[in-house]
Amino acid sequence: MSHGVRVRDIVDALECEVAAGIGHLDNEVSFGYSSDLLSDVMAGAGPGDVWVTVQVHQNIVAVGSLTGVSAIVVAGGAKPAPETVLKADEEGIPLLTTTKPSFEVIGLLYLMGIRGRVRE
Amino acid sequence: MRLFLTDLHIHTALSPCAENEMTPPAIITAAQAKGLEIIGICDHNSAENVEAVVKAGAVCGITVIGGIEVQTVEDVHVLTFFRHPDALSAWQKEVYSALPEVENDEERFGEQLIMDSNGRVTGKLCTFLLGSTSMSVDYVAKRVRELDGLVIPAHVDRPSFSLIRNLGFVPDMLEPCCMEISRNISAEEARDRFPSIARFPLVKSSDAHRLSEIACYTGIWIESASWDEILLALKFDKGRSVTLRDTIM
Repeated sequence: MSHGVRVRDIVDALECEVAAGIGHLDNEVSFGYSSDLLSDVMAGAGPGDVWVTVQVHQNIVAVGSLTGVSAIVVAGGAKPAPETVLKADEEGIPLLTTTKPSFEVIGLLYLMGIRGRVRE
Repeated sequence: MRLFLTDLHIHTALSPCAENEMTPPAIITAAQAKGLEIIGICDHNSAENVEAVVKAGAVCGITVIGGIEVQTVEDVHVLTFFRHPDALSAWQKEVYSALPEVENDEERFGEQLIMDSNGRVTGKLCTFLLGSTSMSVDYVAKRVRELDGLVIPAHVDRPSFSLIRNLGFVPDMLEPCCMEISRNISAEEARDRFPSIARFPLVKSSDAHRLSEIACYTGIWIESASWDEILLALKFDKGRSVTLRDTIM
């Protein structure tokens, strides 16, 4: 568990744009998760995770909401669909975008002290 | 009303991953041998061989529904079928313009053969077909319906290139439609393992890439092998229906 990292810190450190959920940047970040297969995210991500993906379909918001992630980072310059942005605002999930590829994003998050959940 | 044995998902030699033995007449002969009366031709991101298979099928009384297996931007495979050949041509143009401009590497991926109804090679497609288009699954569903077409998410139970694997559950935009399951799973197990498809009608297809894979897992109860009748069956409307088999019929 990372101590004291908030979504706002990620926005600053990664120079992300905030596409949605601007009122929820004080969400605390517990762990990190990365996958572009939403069924895998549903099974693997957990509450408070920052989730890194290149998927932009509106289902990412439902999956983010279901798993309780603290933020979704859309990496690699992918542009979230307008419905995705609307839904993220409705659900109050920070939707961050960056042109940095997933690998860079995850590396930077790791340097901030965020780790993956290690399951037994 | 009677049962028409159906396999809606068959590739031709145009798909680089399919065997070159998948010629229009060979597909029809194999389909006939299996007792199929309705088949769907769905190559990856292209419909260049549809007309040839339709022609080859007409000679033997096999109804061929022309389509394209589109790969969406989310890496989801979606079968798209059309009532009118003109709509299929229009759709093919849109799919081509949404594909990355990458040339096929025959050595690595296989040839992309265009054929006539006798199975003679008339050309090769240069654009690599095994890529993702820039179109989202929602857009594909919307656009295909505008063109009076039918959308069926392909092999939703598979661990890759599937709607459920890649997008987690069925997006609202796709309703109403039916889902295709692969030959690896029974309808009962599919509904059990993937609750979000439980409320949809299912078809089960071979996704044949070689002749020996062409098979009948789906029977459709209809009056005649027409587009309208098939649509009714896929909706379980007016007494029409679809029956799936776990083993080959």
